[in-house]
Amino acid sequence: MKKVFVLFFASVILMSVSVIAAETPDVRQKAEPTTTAIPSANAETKQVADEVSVAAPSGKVLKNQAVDATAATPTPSEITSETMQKPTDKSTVAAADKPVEKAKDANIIHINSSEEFTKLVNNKAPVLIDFYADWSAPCDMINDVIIRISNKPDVKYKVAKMNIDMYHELAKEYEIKTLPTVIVFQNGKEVGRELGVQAESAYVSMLGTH
Amino acid sequence: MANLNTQKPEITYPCEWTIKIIGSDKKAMSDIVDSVMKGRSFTVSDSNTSRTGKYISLKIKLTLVSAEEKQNIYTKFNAHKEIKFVL
Repeated sequence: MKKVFVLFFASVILMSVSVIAAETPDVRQKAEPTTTAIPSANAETKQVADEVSVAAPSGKVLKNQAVDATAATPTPSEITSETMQKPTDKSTVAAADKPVEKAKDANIIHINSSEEFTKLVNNKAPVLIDFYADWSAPCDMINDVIIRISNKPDVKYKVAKMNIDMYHELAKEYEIKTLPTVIVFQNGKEVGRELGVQAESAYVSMLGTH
Repeated sequence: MANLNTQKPEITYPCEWTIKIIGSDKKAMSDIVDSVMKGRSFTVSDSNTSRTGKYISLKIKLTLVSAEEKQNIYTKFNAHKEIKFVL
């Protein structure tokens, strides 16, 4: 009798435990959707922000459509490109209004080929050619003199410059060893040569006597 | 005195002048300087050396009495194959 009572009592306890165990999963199922809903909302915000970033690279547009503060902030490169546009437009207008200045050495022929050199040497009118090198300081000293000679009004001669470092063969053929060397040619002949730095009058007299 | 910065640059003789010669053989260059400058008062000193050390330059200071004398000196230096350039 005592055993029957113990078995009955034990079965009642087991039934109670099974009922409690059966109710617990329901609670968990309700809680789980809540926790997964938050990440999905974050992913959606990120996706919108990404789309806005691609569609509107300018910070100005993003201010009106601000979905995410990070996406709306323009990058330094965007700021630079936007602020640089307006001055460029103004400077273009200003450059168009400004008259084009003639270069100081506009009347000097810069020899660019041996054919051009030969053509000048055979010219009917006198041609003064300044043989120079960029590394020669004395050549710089006479540069303004040569420019002045080329800019004299109503002249019948031509003035040219030749960089000897670009035409070694011609420099050798005409025995250019002193820098600067200024030679006047006419009808294919050398009619005057000045070695080294000379006064303007020395160059002009070579042109004037032929 | 040489003044090339005025509107009408002129060189008034006599004047102090510096000539620089460039070559590769210092001994030969020195001998040529002595030969060309014979009978004149001058000083000679070492100047620049090229990056690779192949070329050297000598600086010659002298008093020129005329443009013709200057041309004559340049022409004499030019005649020597050991002299690559005269500045």
